[in-house]
Amino acid sequence: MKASTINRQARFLVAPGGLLLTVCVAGALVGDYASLGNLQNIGSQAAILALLALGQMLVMLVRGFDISVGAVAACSSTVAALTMDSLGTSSLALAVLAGLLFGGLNGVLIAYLRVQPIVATLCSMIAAQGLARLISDDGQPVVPVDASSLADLAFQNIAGIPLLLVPALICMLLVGLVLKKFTLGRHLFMVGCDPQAASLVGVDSRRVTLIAYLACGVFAGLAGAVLFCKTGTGLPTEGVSWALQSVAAAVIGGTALQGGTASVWPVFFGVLLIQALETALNIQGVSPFIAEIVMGLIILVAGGLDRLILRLFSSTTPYGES
Amino acid sequence: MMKTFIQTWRAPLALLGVAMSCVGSVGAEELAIGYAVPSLSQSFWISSSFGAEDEASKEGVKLIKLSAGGDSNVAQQISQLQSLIQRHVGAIVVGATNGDAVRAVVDQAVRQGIPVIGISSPPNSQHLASIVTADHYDMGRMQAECLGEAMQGQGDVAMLAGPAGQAWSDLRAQGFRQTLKDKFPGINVVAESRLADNRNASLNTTEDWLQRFANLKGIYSATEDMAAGAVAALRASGHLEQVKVSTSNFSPTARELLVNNEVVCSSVQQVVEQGRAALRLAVAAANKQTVEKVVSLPALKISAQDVATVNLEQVMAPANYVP
Repeated sequence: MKASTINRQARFLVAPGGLLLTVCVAGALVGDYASLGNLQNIGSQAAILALLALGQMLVMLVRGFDISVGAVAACSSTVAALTMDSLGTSSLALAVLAGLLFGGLNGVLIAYLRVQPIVATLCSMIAAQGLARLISDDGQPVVPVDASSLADLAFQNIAGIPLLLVPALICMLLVGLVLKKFTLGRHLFMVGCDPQAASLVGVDSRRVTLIAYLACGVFAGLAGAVLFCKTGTGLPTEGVSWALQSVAAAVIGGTALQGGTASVWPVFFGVLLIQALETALNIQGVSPFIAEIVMGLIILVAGGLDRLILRLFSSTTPYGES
Repeated sequence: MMKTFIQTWRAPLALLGVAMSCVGSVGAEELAIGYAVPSLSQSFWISSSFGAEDEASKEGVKLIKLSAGGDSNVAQQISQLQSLIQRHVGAIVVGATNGDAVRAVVDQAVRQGIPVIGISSPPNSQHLASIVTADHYDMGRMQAECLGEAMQGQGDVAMLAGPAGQAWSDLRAQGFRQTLKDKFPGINVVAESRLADNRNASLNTTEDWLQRFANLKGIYSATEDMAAGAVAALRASGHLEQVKVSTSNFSPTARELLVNNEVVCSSVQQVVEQGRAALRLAVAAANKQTVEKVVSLPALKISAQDVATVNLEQVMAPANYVP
């Protein structure tokens, strides 16, 4: 096997390897950790982060990132809660629409107006937080008259898969398909590797970048809808740390910060790794302060492993695979 | 595509499957009680955690303490409660980040046979085994009485009322407003913030109020951290003499504010005792014993004059306690 191929594959093995190690160690130390019920529990808990990390992966693929995803998800959950009583479950579509609007705003600012991603998504983050507080009476949780059935449903399983995780799994399958089989997918990789070279061969890199941010916004909106289903409440001030967690999951999942390299399922494993660690620490009753330190260290180690692999198999690759 | 996926990931997936099937559970376990609260960085939850932990050691049960990291981290608390359910703890004590939002997961715990005890800010569930609380309305009443007297029944007052959606802050604010209305009609409430729920935010909000309300003579604060923020703003602007501050809760911060005469009084919950009571109820409920539906512990009023002499064993954790 060529070194470049090993390199490409190896960076995508960090997340599943870390997850495997976590499950083994935690399963040996913590009673019932590796039970089906707890694995379903981890899956259910990872649902929101999985959607956010998927969106984050797409924008990182085209050399960007989005720090507004948490605020947009919170704002979207608020939109869903506010419209639940009048629109019923259609309010969930409005949550996705809200995400789409913020994604579009980010995409236009970054792709067409050449605003730096950090500046553009910072503006969106602040705007989303402000909008959520504006429509929710100073940031108070929004409780629809009856969303209890939705919240009860959210903790059910379908064929052993947590219902909350199903939207994320469907989105991942679709994104994986697009990246692998569709022209758009190849264009995303090409723009991420070298936008100028992509333009020279006729790829509209602005349009491709806009699409990546639109998709990221849609997934953030969908994460807001999932949050609403999970809690039965619109939570305008949630999600402060989710943007960084989504970046961490994407990086652990082998997504290159410099763009051009990404794969859907390793990112999903990165999400599961973060959630599996958190659940293990919670179940074991580790001091919450120590748990935070441990979590930070393990994310650092996982990120470091990626660098180590790059050094071990030092070679350059044109772009990664989906 | 699925074929490619399976081919690429068959090795790690197979290993994962083996790991899942081979790892075993630990042996016989002692009774474990979950204790999930919004933040173990806040003095209230530190003191209540001390009470629960101390009582747990006396009862010989394992206490699993979980902090959501702040009142706004609702999703995090839901995840933690799901983990406790999976851990099959005997009972769970919950101080909710948001009572409505955690209702569904609390009901899920109850459906799985795990009794849930609400403490201070209980989940809005009909299925709680018991609720441990202070008389929050009375705490607001106590603040109104001492602040009204300090303001001599005249002037404008602003309220750092604490987060909305929390029963404790709503009840304290109600008690404060109603008592002012009944006993001090010359005092007007001119502003109320539900967002300034920490020291820094309270400092900024108070600075804004000082600019806006020239006749401001008093500030109600739902917690001592908010009071500390308000006092810092008043001290910096030279208004500490003109504007009186009252607060609730007791901690090293509140003690310092009282000793320095920077707040006129603090209405205090028996926080440590709440933690103890919640733990006792949780153990009883886990052992299928009948428990009281509501345990309401009376409030105390501490002023600058009696802070040095009052017995605080039931009120706050020792200074060297770390949750």
